[in-house]
Amino acid sequence: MNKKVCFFFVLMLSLLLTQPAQAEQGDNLVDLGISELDMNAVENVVQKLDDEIKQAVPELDFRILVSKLARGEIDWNAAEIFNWLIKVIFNEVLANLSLLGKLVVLAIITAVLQNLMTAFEKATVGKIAYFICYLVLVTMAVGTFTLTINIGREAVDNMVSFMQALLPLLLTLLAAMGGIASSALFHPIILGSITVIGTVIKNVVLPLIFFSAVLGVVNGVSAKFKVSRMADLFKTLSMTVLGLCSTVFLGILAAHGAAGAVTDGVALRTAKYTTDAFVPVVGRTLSDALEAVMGSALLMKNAVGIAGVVIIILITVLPLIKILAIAFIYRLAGALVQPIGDSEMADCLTQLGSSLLTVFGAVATVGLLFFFAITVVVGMGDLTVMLR
Amino acid sequence: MEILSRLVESLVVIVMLAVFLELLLPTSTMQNYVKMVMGLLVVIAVLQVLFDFFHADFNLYVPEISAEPSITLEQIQVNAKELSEEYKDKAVEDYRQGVKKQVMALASLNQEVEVLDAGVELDTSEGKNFGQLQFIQLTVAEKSRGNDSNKVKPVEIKVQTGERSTAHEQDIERQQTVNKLAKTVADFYNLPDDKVKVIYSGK
Repeated sequence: MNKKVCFFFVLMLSLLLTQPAQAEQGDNLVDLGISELDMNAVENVVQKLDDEIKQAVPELDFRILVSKLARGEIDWNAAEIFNWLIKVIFNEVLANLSLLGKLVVLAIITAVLQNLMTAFEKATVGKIAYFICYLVLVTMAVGTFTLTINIGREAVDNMVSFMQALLPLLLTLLAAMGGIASSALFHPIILGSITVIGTVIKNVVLPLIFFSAVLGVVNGVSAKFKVSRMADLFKTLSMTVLGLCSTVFLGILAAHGAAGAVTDGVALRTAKYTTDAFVPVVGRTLSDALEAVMGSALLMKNAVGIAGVVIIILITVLPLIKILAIAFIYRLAGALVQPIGDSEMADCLTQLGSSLLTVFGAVATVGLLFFFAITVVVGMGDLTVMLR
Repeated sequence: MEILSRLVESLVVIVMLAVFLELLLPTSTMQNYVKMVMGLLVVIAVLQVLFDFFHADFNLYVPEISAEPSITLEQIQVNAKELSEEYKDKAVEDYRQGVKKQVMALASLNQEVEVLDAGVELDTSEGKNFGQLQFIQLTVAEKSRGNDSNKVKPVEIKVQTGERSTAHEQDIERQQTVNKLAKTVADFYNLPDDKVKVIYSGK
């Protein structure tokens, strides 16, 4: 999972550091289709994104983003993006410091109670007090955990609805460029699998991680009565489902990408050959004109694709940072509690932190898979044109 | 997921009950029995879920695949067709401009006339003849001799009686030039002669 996450970030960084190809045709060609394209569905989804993304990027307009990308006017400053990321992470950690404070204070109280246990007339009184404190701490921790899981679910929801709006647009552009077979192949499969992946992650993987975390917490309640194996089982199940989903999704994308592109490429090649051969003298001019227009249509499609990837990154990164910050807080609380309290409490907090990292992995995997889906659809158009 | 959720709930309740019993029961000898009984309860809870699963008629709850009806494939293909028509129109327009410039360049090689404009008609219908030239119309005028205006014009002595015949000769000459131009263009583009029209706009 960690490898996947690292891979995801390397991809994101390499994408952000890449300058889009400059338009070689005139401006009128770059504008080709931008005004006519029906981007309303995508724009509506972008408008509906939650306020935090809008705070981070105030002037988020899909159409403007596409046209800037097509003209190569967007100035990616890696240092600035990195600084912004660091700032957001620190802000999130700071915002959750109160949670850390509460957890640590409760842990200290339980530690003190444990030491005073012998002072009570009956040991059971001390035990009950300790038990209650533990329950309060666990309730608090599980409450925040639930909120964080919901952040993940929301992110997956946002990504799925964005993809459902973006893909028809990309497939339209692909079909307009001659990729009719590809788009017909891709439409049901890609849209269906995106929705299935989103639903499975949201309704199966994330709840399984939650169950595993809850059982992990309950495991710490009693020293004699353990349910840690059941927690492990749930965690393994969730990881298996996640792995299966990503493998199947990538397999489908790879198989269909190649098949469609070759058919379309051959069709385009035939069209070009007939224009060249059957129109006397000026056939070459015509095929050149067609090629120039096709080139700018390709540029448009790639710009729409890159803009889609940028939005997917925005939708993914902010919730991921939140989840990461809270996971960090849990791990930090676990580390702080260990020397003063008992090991069970520290283990419980650390385990919650680890479960949150798993949630982080699941959400990041969805982002990564959707990123691949966009890349494959965009890349397939390029392949179609290359095969002419 | 409902089944698993119930299982987790019952496990939590059983563990809590075990902890309370552990606290409430006085002797440590009893605690082993408590652990045993609670363990049995856990096993029953898990087995019950398993049996529920096996007895289910596999009419399992499947989450709705698509919450919102997205655009259908037909709609995408219609949109794509419109867009590709736009691309084609754009390409044909570029092509028309290119051919127009070529025709004008070719016609301006003729020293006797000045090319004012050229119009090109293309076959834009789908099929084998797509892009073929249908008709070319050239508008030409007599070549202006702007640079020669400063020079002393040769003195022309016109004989009054010969004027009509000279004008007639000029007409013939002009017609010949126009025909020659039309033929050159038609031959170059492999068109029948009647598909090239040259309009002489007299100055």
